Amino acid sequence: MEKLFDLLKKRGVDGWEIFYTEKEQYDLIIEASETKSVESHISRITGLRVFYEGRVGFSSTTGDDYEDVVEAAIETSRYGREAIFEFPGKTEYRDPERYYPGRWPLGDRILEARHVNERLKELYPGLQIQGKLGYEDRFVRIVNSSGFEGEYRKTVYTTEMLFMGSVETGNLFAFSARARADGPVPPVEVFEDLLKQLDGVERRAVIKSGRYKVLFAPVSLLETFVEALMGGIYGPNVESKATPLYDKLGKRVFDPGLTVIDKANLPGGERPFDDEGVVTQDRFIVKDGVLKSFLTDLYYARKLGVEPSGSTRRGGGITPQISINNLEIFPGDRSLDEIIRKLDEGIIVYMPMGAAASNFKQGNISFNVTLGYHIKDGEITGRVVDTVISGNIYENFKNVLSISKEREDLYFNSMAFRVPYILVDSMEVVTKDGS
Amino acid sequence: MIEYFKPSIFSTGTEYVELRYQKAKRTVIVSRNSNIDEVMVGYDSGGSVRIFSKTGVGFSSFNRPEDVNLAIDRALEPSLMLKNPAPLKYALPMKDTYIPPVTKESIPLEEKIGLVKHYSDLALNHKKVAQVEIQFMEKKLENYFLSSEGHEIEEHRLYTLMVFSVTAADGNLYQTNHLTWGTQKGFNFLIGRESEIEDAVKIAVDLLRADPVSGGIYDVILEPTMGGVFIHEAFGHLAEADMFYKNPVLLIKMRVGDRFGREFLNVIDNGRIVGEYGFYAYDDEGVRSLKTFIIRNGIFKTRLHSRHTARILGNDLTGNARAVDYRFPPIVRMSTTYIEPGESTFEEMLDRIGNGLYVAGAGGGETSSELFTFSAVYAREIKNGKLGRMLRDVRLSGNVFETLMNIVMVGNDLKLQAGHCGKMSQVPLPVSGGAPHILVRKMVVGGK
Repeated sequence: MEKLFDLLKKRGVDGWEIFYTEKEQYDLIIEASETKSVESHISRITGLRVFYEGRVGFSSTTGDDYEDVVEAAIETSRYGREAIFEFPGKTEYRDPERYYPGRWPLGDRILEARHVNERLKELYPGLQIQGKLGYEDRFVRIVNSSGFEGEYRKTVYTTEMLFMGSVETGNLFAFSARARADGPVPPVEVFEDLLKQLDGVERRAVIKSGRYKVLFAPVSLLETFVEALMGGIYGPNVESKATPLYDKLGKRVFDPGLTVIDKANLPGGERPFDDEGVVTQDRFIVKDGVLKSFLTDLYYARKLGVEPSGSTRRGGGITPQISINNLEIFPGDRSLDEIIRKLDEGIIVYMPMGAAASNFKQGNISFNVTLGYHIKDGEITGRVVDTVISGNIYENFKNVLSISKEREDLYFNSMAFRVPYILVDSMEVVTKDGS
Repeated sequence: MIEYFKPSIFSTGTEYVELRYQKAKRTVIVSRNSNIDEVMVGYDSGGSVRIFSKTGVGFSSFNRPEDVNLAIDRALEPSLMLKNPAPLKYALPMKDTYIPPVTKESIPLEEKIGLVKHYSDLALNHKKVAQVEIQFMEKKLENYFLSSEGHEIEEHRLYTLMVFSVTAADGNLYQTNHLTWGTQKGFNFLIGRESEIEDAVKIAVDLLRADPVSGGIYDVILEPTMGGVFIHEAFGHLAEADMFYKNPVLLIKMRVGDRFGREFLNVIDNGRIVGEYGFYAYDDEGVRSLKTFIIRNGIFKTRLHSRHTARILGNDLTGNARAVDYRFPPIVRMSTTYIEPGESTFEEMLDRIGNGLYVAGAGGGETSSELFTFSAVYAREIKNGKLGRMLRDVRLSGNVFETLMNIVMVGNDLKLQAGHCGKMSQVPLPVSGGAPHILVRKMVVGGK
């Protein structure tokens, strides 16, 4: 990195930021319920952002070719966005110990994987497990010309599991993933969570098309409501007024029972500062149904005249991307069991399919039900298949019927989530069984 | 690079060792409305080794060439703890260099920026347009592959891609349309797209006045990009042998020789269409790419394979083992996948359908084994063989086997389209796909 400092001094840029990360990853891969292979990765990348003649340039490398990187950053700055923001200055931050390497020997992982593989075979011979039992040691360092200098090292142990295959009612997918810094999440815990989702899978429910109450389980809530909400508060969409939420800051947009927080620290997703060096903190996105903040980076925060979210992320060499740190939805006051028992008629959705293709900008959510059940008079009558559910988060989540006390911890794409079950009214359901 | 790595791969004494090394230079431009929002040039080099020992498979990736022996140790040792050997089908050890002239192309950054701005300004001319986003990506890639069986392959590629997205707004109503152009023919492929952009903007604006579709069962004519997404997502992934080679139920459903469609239905995966976004000379196991009939005259003919799945199922190699980059092991993937054109004209299809929907513009989708769901950008009502009013919020879903059998007409107007495919965390993989117009009976159409 010293060489990079020297080159930057020589070229006389107006400001600079160096982002460096290295990772070691070591995963046991389960394929078709067999401990198939072991994958390890050693990687590193350096990202350079410069202010040059009033504009921003960017380059990155996985190697040591720093001369090329400096020249590329300066060249791209000729066309880049205006340098209307400043890098964070010297800042104090808390960084509790999160580096606990080597706590999941491969031999243990192989035995744990075999155990769950055999159990699933006994219980549901038509289903198989795809999964990953692994850990990652990550080091991040950010230094910039405004005086920020920070680094952290952390370990993330991840247990990911997907049930896939066939049961009598047809094919299914069921997915869950959890993570922690201080040691592995036992695979059997994730396995048991998924097994619960299969209660009633042997029977098929025949339902008519129409309007139904829908109970979103945590994974389905993330893929629908949360995704659409993230699009709604995404800084560039707000700036373009390409979201219904662009003028709703401080206004009620959802049910008063709904509170959504961007959390700095949830298991597996902890970090002391984001990928631009902004210190992470808990931040309300929606509080008691009222919209409290947008998602921004340093640039869009300045454009919109708000505080930066402190939640940007970088992938393989790309510029910092607007994201969240982690996400928590507040619990309600009724147990899941009670919500189901008191439900006259509705559908519980564990696994949606194709929700990402919804018109999220509009707030629309639309998906096929890969794993879900029909509930009548508080009882599961059977699994729904060939069923499409549609709605709009700004309509269906304005009056939420129930939020569960129970929440699930989940972990996807380096982000952690703590999410309840939510029951909403009157979603459009189309089934092949009857119109 | 090949000479540098050669001694390492013969050092282990295990059954089979392969090594991939890549050098990539990537240029990315993102524009939002009239501003260039991001410009970056990145350098990404790295490699990986995959070891097939007598007891299992180990894979390890690295960035610095001098870390290759460390990577070999990290792949070999754990593979010896597994009890699942993965035998491979024999592949002829190729020694080849494939460097297309286009990979020497050098277009100044200014010219790329100029084109992005030009297209953005064109779309912003319309007063109902709230947001225009354009992403330009160029990736110059040098691939090196060598193995302990004697493979020595060097292949260079130049990927160029532009994704155009326009959102029209009216009050609280937002409608988005998008276009994708991807190629290995170089930058000029992106020039002269003005009329396509104007058409795309018009559709987004017209959608503001369109009614939502009423959910139900319809006969539909799928426009070529929608048909292409259907055949790639719903059927192509099922034909990838690693999706089912250890699943007894799917093995029965995907039995070679079974009838999947009517006599006139042909589905092809062709990795050899030079210049297509999904082209490659060699896959990531060093196997030459091929043209493969997956369905011929309605009969399921060939699964797509890696060396491992071909060996397990006793089939020929198809050259479909691909990895997104050096950080990932190759898995079975498609290349350029399409429905072969038939003889029907669009007008003949309208006559035959009578009443139904014309469904156009692929908005994304997902599959779960034989089930699929895709959203369309828009639909148009068909009444008495005539195209009528525009409809929005259209989503198709169903069972792929039933849907294939329900294809009752195949048009004569094949159109290929570039795209990025995702599977098992490996995204974005360059592919192409397409179809002519196809007429499908009884599709489930959901609203919103």
